[in-house]
Amino acid sequence: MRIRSLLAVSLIALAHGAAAAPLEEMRVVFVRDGVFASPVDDAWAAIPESTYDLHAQQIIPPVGGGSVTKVSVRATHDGEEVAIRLAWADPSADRGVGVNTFRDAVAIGFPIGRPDPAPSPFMGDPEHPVVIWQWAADFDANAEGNSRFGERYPHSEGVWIFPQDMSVRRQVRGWRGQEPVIEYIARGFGTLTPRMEASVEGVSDYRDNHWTVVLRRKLITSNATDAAFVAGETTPFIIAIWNGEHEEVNGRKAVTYAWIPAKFDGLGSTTTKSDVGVSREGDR
Amino acid sequence: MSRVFNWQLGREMDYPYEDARPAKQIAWVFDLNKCIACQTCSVACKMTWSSGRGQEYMFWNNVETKPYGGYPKAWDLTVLEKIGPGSWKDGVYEGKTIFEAADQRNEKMVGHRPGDEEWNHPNIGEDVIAGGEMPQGAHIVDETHPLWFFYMPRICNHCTHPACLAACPRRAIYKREEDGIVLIDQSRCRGYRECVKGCPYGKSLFRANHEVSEKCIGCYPKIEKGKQTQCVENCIGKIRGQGFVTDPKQGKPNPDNPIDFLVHVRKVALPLYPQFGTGPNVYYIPPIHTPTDFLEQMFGGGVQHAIDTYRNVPQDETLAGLLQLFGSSPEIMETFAVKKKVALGYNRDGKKVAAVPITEPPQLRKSFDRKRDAYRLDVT
Ligand code: SF4
Ligand code: SF4
Repeated sequence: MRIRSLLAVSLIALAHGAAAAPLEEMRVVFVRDGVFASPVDDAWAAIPESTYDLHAQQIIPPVGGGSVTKVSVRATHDGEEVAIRLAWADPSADRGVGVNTFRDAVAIGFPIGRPDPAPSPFMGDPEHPVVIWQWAADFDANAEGNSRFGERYPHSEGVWIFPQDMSVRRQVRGWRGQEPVIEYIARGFGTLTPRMEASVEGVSDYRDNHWTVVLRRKLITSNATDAAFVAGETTPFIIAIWNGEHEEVNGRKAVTYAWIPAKFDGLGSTTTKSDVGVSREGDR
Repeated sequence: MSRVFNWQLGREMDYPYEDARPAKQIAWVFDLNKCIACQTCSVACKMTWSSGRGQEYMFWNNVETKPYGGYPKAWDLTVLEKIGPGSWKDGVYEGKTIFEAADQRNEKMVGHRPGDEEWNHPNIGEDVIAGGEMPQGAHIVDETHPLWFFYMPRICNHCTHPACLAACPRRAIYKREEDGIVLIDQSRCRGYRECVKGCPYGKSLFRANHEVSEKCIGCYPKIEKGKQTQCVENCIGKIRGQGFVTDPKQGKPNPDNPIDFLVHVRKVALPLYPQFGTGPNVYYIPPIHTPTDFLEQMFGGGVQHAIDTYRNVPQDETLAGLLQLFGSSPEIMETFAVKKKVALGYNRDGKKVAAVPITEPPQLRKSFDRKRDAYRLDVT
């Protein structure tokens, strides 16, 4: 297959860093008294921000996307948990899904374990899987009870008598639209597989034409197929953003074309929330 | 990308996926001269498979009126416009398929993703007549009717070269080796809607509340037991036959196989829009009173032959018998025979499951029914 072999060549090139040098390092600031879980916590203002350019996905069809061109990231950890805050401009909040309605979403991916050198940033490969956390605006709306599905599909509301509906619902529950964040494992293109165990929490805020999303997880989980975060060390990650208004879904997305090194502060740092000028007033 | 021989086009074509032919290929024949648009098939299908929340406008089987009806709205005209004009010469299609018309750098096939508006009016155009006004006193003089419409029942074609399958970036769609049924793996589908866009027949549908695509599953649990699909078994008009078709590329058509007989021997049943290039496996006996040029756009170059063959049914005992077998057994008849003006259908084990006379012998009944204590006006 022509597409395949082309792809293999470009992948090998990319995997060996020939095409894409690693991006500017992002600092994961150590805070002693708890990470900032809310996207609107004023404390974030004191955390250094790293901004990355995003590009339309061009490696594997369907190509395209890229209407979001920049993402700003801040991160904190407290030795127990890590919180990553992603902020980007999007003039419309797209929270619903219909046959030709698409939703906004953001995903970050990490290699599983601590492989050296890091594998391909694009969905990993069979030997080097990656774990992906995807926050989606429609799942978020469902979880918050703000789904406006019935407005768009009025006949779907009301009492439903067919038993198969319940059984199907039960099957998809838990990983399709009930939690704001879904976790996936990928071992190359087209292998994205949702994982039942959820360890990541997501909180979002949309105002002034901006999405702000905080993704939070324990540094160490009991799951062997998780990214490992160690204080004082560096973990690479990548970012993808979908803009529903522009029908972005699947491969049509805005991506960082290389790993971003996330440097976790060591536990010895003495930063506290008050050190970074925090008032707790902004917490929600 | 692979180079495949598409017998319906009489030539090779590019297909943006591997060419994998199943051991057996499920197929249907629908006789459009007999459909009455009662929608029993749609209801049978819906009650069985798609009666859940979020499937309100989802019809895996639908029946539309041609030329003005369409579910989703204008599905066929939209695709025809995208592939551009083409013609048939000696059984070979000279034009572009949905794969050939695509700019392969950006898309695998010319696609069209209908919106909610298009899906939410399943009976748009129903019973609307083509050909102009019906003046007072008008009557039909020709075999081809100047004023016409016909009913068009449709299911997924379980294509030989499925566009839905080629379109899916997750390889969530697969064609079963044992019977050629095309299925979407619900646990792999991520709701990207590439198949909804890729299928030129509008037969891959999106279920918004589950965020997955769903489609006709060919009633595979019934097929595995040798039974006909729900839409076939329940068809009031007995317009539907079902079985397995031989791809002439793979083997010689068997004249004892009902589908092969209709499709390959008599060539009275034709694929729907073969020019799309997906190798659809629902074959239609064209409605013989409809203008031929319209039918040719829909069923390709074999239309005139099919119409002539169908008109000749009274002289063609085998064909007449086989058409009688439609709707005469809930089991799939894999072979048939016509002996002494009786059509016989046999299931996959060679067991006789139907015996139908070509002409029903007249029954004469007494005008007074003693048992029911009633008089009959109609005694034959
Ligand atoms: S049940 Fe048969 S006759 Fe009735 S609409 Fe369906 S295909 Fe036509
Ligand atoms: S009719 Fe459409 S959905 Fe069915 S197999 Fe063909 S391309 Fe796929």
